Amino acid sequence: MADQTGRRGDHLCWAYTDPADLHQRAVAFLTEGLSRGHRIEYLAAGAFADLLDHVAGLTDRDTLLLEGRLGIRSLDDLYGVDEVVDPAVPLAAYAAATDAAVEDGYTGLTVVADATPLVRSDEQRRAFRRYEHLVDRYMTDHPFAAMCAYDVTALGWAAAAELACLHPDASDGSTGFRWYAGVGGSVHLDGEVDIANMELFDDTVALTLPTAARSVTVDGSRLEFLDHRAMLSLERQARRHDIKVTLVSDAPVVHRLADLLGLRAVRPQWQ
Amino acid sequence: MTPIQAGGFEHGLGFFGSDDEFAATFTPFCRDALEQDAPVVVRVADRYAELLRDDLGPDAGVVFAAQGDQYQDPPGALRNAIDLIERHSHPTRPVYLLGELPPMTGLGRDAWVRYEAAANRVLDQRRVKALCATDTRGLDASLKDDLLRSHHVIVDADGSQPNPAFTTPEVAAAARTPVRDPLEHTSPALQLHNPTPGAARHAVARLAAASGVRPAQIDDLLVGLSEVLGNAIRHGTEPVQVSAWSVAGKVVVAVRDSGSGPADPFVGLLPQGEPGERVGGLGLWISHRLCPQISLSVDASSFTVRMAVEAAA
Repeated sequence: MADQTGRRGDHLCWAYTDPADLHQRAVAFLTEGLSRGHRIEYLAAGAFADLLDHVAGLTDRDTLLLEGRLGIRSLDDLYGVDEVVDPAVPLAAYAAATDAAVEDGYTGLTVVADATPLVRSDEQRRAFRRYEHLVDRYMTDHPFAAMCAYDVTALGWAAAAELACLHPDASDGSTGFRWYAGVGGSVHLDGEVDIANMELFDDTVALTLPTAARSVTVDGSRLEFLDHRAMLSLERQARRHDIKVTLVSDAPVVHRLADLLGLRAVRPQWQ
Repeated sequence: MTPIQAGGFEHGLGFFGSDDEFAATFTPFCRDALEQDAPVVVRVADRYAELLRDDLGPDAGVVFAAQGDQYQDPPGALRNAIDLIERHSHPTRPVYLLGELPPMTGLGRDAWVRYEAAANRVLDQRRVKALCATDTRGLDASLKDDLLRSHHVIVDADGSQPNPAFTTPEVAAAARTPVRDPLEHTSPALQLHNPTPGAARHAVARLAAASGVRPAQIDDLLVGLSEVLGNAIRHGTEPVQVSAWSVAGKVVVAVRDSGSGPADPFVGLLPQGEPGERVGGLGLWISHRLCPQISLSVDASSFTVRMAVEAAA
């Protein structure tokens, strides 16, 4: 699954409309975790018996459960109804669980989580998007992999896109661009940004642009299109934080627009 | 020559049909400047520059500027003109500028005709006498009418006279002759109804791949398409229709919405401010910069932007 960035496959967003299809994919993702030597965990809302049923397709499910290699947890036990999640809390919990898995002799931790109840309201979603980016960065240098599932029939496609765009890999049609963590504090920007998803891009950058360092590299090696609004959004936000953004891309549009717009904080660079 | 108002911009249209007429029409313009001790900048093809040098003498004081890519695109040309004027400005005398007309061919004619009118608005406070050398050989009658609306004076080998057809920049732009690409007489290879910009880019990219037009030009066309379609979606009225034609060496796209188009007749042409301060019009400005073969047209029920890219002859 991993390519030269080492990312695709370790953090997957699945925006679903059919629960049965989701459960099949969850089993496949967890099985991949097993093949990597990971401990695995399935997390969703509902009764334990139902969750157990969702992963019925796992080979030797009950043995894995008894051995402590498969964990099944209900969101109902972890979060209150309509709770706005503090991004640091689940991050710390997964970091601890990853450490524990390694201490117990596994190579890491693979999780499938249907977090739909945690992202129903705008406020919840905003907090959870921060968490998604934090945990995404955590994955760049820890043996932790996750498939984040969101129920489109409950959230709608626009809300699902807000979350999907923060993953290195996402189900087809869930987002036009992907903005995710890279090595050394860099960010990747894949796909296409234009008027159709410009507001989401602007907001996503505002929520997650790393501003601690004086400069950030945005790896656009899989960037296909970026319109002038998106370029100006990056420029404005970089200026606001007094940082430089190096946008690495071989997409001619990036270089043409940066030149025409006279950008100063965003510097395009050929790969 | 018509005296220009203090601080005013005088835009002349100078006609010639032979080398002899070129010298007879434009040498007096240069002499007029030199006699007043005014700066005079000439930006014409080398062979025409030679004719003037022969008449004026080698060290007459005329600045011959390289043509370069002066007419690469209309907003860039306006910016260049302002820079040139500022570089050569004089505290008390007007700057005299002699240049050739931009390339009035294809869809680009529409943008350049608007450019000629826009110059009157953009430069109206500048102390400048500009003269556009216009070859009458093969000059299209409707193009001549379009140009007459945007030039204060007419100059030929017999001298200079006020131009009765001159009108305000806004009226000149609005009255211009509509320009169509001949490919529009054929059925489009592609028609998309209310597409997203992404869907339109992908479809036109697939269509254009076999055209033989350079990929960099197709990329520029796709940027223009995306910007223009984004405007139609954001500011226009549905339905929005994208049509495209592709033949060997040429790709044409047309984006039509059911609105009345932008109110500003010079949208897309005028120099922009600082990045980050820009509001509105930037998408069309980018489209004009990257895809100078561009036309805007309004009829009773729709607004259409057409853009073309062609393989170099």
